[in-house]
Amino acid sequence: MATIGTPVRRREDYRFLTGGGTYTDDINRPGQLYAYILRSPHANARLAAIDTSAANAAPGVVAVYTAADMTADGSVSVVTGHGANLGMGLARSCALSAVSLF
Amino acid sequence: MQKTVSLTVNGKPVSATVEGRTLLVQLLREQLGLTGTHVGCDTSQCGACVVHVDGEAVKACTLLAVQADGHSVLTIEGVATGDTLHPMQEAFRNNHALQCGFCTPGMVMSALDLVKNNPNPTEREIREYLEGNLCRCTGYHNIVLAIAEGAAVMRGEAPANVHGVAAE
Repeated sequence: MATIGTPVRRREDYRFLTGGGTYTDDINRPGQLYAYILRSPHANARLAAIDTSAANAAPGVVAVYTAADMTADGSVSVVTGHGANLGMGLARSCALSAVSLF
Repeated sequence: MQKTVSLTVNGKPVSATVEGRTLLVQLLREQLGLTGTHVGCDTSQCGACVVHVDGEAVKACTLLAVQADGHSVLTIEGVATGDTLHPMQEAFRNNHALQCGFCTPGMVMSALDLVKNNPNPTEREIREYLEGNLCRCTGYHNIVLAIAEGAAVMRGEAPANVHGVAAE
């Protein structure tokens, strides 16, 4: 094991040092959609209802998913009712441009 | 409002049509494909987007693209010479001054700005200068060592810590 006790250069450093890393924010494909997760602003709350009509009507928005969609898809990544804790995902929208969500 | 801007980026003349609200970092990343300049916070705190404009370090998320019209921009992609790393980049590699690498471009660009104005910075001066650059891998110690070494090499001195394992 000749490498033990000797410095080993990381393979990834050159690209990170020259701006060649590929982070998710660097990916830009034609027609790419951007997802935004709406999170609970409260530390502990009960989720009464979600009205997605305004989000759906916003220009560029392709889809808005809530718990009903995620449950149907077999995912439990957004809350359904009780126990909406701070930061938990409540809804997810996908749009052609992130800018159009705001 | 759309406007065509012409500027020099990493030594090459470029033109692009931008909105009045387009940030320099958006022009670089989204229109010119130079994704080495990172957006870490959108609030001008993290320093991952530092580039040089006419030789001065700026956070590219604080400047409008139209403000760069007619100016010369240097990004992390323009720092190395061909495949040969700049001494500051080499010092970062030697000192294991990067882990995930996300803050690294901004760190290197800030370090170059520091050394341009202060060729022989003390450790304290380096630490103070990095106030505007955040590293969430908490790698500051080795970043400081790297900048000291990079500055030394840029002054023509031999690297002090060639083998890269930081002293405790």
